[in-house]
Amino acid sequence: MCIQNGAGNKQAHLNSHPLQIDNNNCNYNMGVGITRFVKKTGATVLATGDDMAGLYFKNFLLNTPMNALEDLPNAKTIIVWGANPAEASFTRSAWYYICKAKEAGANIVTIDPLYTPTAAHSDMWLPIKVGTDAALMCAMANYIIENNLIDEDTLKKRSVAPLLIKEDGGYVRVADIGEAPQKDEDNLPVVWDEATQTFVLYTNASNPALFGSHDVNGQTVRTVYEATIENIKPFTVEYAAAECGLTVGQVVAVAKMCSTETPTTFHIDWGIEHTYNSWRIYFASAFLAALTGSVGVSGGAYTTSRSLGSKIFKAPVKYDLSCLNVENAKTSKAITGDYVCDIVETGKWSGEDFPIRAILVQGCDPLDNFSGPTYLLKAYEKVDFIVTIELFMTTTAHYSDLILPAAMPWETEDFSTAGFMTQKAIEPIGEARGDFTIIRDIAVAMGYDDLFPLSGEEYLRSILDTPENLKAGLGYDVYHEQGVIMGDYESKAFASPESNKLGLTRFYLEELIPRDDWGQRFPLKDRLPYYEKSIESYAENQKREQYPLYGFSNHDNYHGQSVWAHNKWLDEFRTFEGKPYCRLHEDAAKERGIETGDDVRIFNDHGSCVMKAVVTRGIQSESLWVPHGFFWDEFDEGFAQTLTGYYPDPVTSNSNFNDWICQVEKYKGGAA
Amino acid sequence: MTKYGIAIDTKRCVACNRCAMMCKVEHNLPNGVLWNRAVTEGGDFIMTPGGTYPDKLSLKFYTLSCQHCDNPACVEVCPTGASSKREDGIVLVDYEQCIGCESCIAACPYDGVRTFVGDPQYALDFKVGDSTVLDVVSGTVSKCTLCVERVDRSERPNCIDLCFAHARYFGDLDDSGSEVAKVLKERDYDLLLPEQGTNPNVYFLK
Repeated sequence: MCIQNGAGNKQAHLNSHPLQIDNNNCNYNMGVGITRFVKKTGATVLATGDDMAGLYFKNFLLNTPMNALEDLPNAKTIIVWGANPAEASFTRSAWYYICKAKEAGANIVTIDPLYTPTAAHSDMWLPIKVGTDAALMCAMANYIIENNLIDEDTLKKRSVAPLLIKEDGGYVRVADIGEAPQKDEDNLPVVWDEATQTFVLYTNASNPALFGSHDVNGQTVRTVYEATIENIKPFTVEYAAAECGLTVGQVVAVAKMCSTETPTTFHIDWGIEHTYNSWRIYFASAFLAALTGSVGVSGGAYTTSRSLGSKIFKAPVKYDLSCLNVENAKTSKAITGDYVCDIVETGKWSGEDFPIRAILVQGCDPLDNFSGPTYLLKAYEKVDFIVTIELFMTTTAHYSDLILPAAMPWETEDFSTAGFMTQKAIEPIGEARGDFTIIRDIAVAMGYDDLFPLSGEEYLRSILDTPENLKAGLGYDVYHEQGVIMGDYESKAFASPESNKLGLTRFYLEELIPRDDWGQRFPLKDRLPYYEKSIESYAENQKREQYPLYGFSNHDNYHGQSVWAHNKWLDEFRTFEGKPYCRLHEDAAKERGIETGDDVRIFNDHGSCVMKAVVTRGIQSESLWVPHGFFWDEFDEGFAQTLTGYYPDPVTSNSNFNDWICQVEKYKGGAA
Repeated sequence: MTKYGIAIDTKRCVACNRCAMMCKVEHNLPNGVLWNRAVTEGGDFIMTPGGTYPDKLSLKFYTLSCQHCDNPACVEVCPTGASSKREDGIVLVDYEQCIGCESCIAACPYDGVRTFVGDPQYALDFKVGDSTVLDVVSGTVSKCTLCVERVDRSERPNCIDLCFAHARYFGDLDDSGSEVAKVLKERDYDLLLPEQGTNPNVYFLK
């Protein structure tokens, strides 16, 4: 049995802070119920592939520092890239601060295939082709270097640029050039100091050399910076202009702006990490940060922040998670759930037999949200038993063998790791139950009578009623009574420096361990800034003769994943005469005789969908946007998610749902 | 003399319709009825820009609802006196006096701010919003009330408080200390259709 978990499990292993016992609407942890169940049974956890390129790199590999949203007004230039804070659900808290920045005179540039409300309010919009962002980043870096616009201090002193790489990919460290230090943790990297013409500990160099090779123990070693420049050499300004569908002028303008009109915040969100090679932007953006000083300073950052610097309510001081311990716990595997497509086909995973007989889906909706539902559905049809715990008749629920109705947050008490209790207002309707109750009841039915000796409330008490929490007046009883405990409002416009062991901005990794590890490793070129075309959505793909348009979607204003489907109020705003619609450029529409309001069929090798068309100038001219978040039954034919392919990348196992090409035609003569 | 008005910052507004939705919930409006709605100006359809692709595109954002005019055309033409203007400036429709003749709809220069409620259908089978709000009545005209139920207990209209862009201002235009009066002193603004002579009290900051 496998448990397909949602945004609930963002790492490749069991989450270490599963607090919630009722895991409605997938909240960043698996909860007491699932955690104990998995430990008892050894069930495999199928983690989500959603946003994995970004999460794996930002949160795990690079620990990319975030500034407070309140810091945005301190920036002189804000590059909004793969982000749409004026519109995208879950990210709108940044918009007000970007407005403040603009009002203080900041430059706002939006890089996006779609002319979003964010783009409309910007000084410049770059209509980039989806999936080509790393090319633009590398070209900007090249321009900055060639035109001597580098922030030398950041590059030399606060980035990995001067560190030296050995043949095995590791840094030259103290032990390589002399005596090994007593403690392994003191075996830190060295650099060549121009001032002393010797190797010194990287923190001690007064003028670390950016260039230069040296012989160390018979090996030729060279700086990360030199290796980087060589790696990104092909991605000139002219290359990027052609590849990205931009002009040389646009590339130069943004490169100049972010390096000379500083401090710069690269407001980079998940929008650019949905294509096969998009994980490379994390190396490239870190390099841009090092070149422009966009890290750890007021107004300088190279990612968006999710955390406002303000505090409004009081979260518990300390949790006691000992209730998650299970005697004789079994070891479970964790695999990205997208790979079910391969596993079911081959019967194997990572060289071992791996028969999947049953899948329990909780806190997610794979068929509406994963990339390649056409292939996933084929795989699900070969699995004996699919059970889904759900609130709504999602496409996944629709195709399941059994649905266990879940309770709404107000029908069951639970504690969120954000620091508040969702309070029970009414009894669940019909047969609906909280997730914890469902898992407990399944466990009992499976013969595990003693797996949950405590009630839900008792588990919550055991977690919350630590001496520290009780002393602070933040124990179960208080949260049960009040739900949220308000504190004094504080607001801090913090800027975070790098927090990794070296304290340096990293655009090189000594080793790149993949998220799903079946033994694959990555050569030097993949551990530095670089650009590679997408797996399907690229200009030279032969298939473009049949499917010439670059397809993509986004988090629009009226959807949040697939949570707000079938909503009459929202449909008043987000449909064309009650039907979902796509967006295409007026040139592409004219070629096909399509006008706003026509019914059109969008199709490729993966799937197809019929919806209305909206013709606009506000989209990259060879691109086609489809909405994300409608269920299968909200379309006249097909559903939009089927247009996406099955392309998890070997580094992050990302769900690459913006990596597809398509064709569009009027449907049945298609008059509105 | 109190004179309530609104200012909308078109440089911050992103036509997200959150204020429109808040209003719908607050007043338990039926299907197809909106007292406030986001508008964009540019291309033919909402969110489509005008201008030339790719670097001279333009899109303007604002919301449209009753302008609570000084010389309301609706009040002038109303045969029963159902449409009236309070001393504090709020223009209201009294559902009990309204006969649904729709003269106000014809007279008002601001298309779409008021709706004739025929046979109201609702998305939910229970009421939502403020319990003191009067239900819309079949056969009458309804429009923005400037959240009179909230204003009368010294609160701001919901659409003002909700805006995450902080793009909306409300208050007494005749009180120089009110936030709306202050922002109008600092910023340039447009009015909608000033040449129609109704003297609207909704200001669009540029």
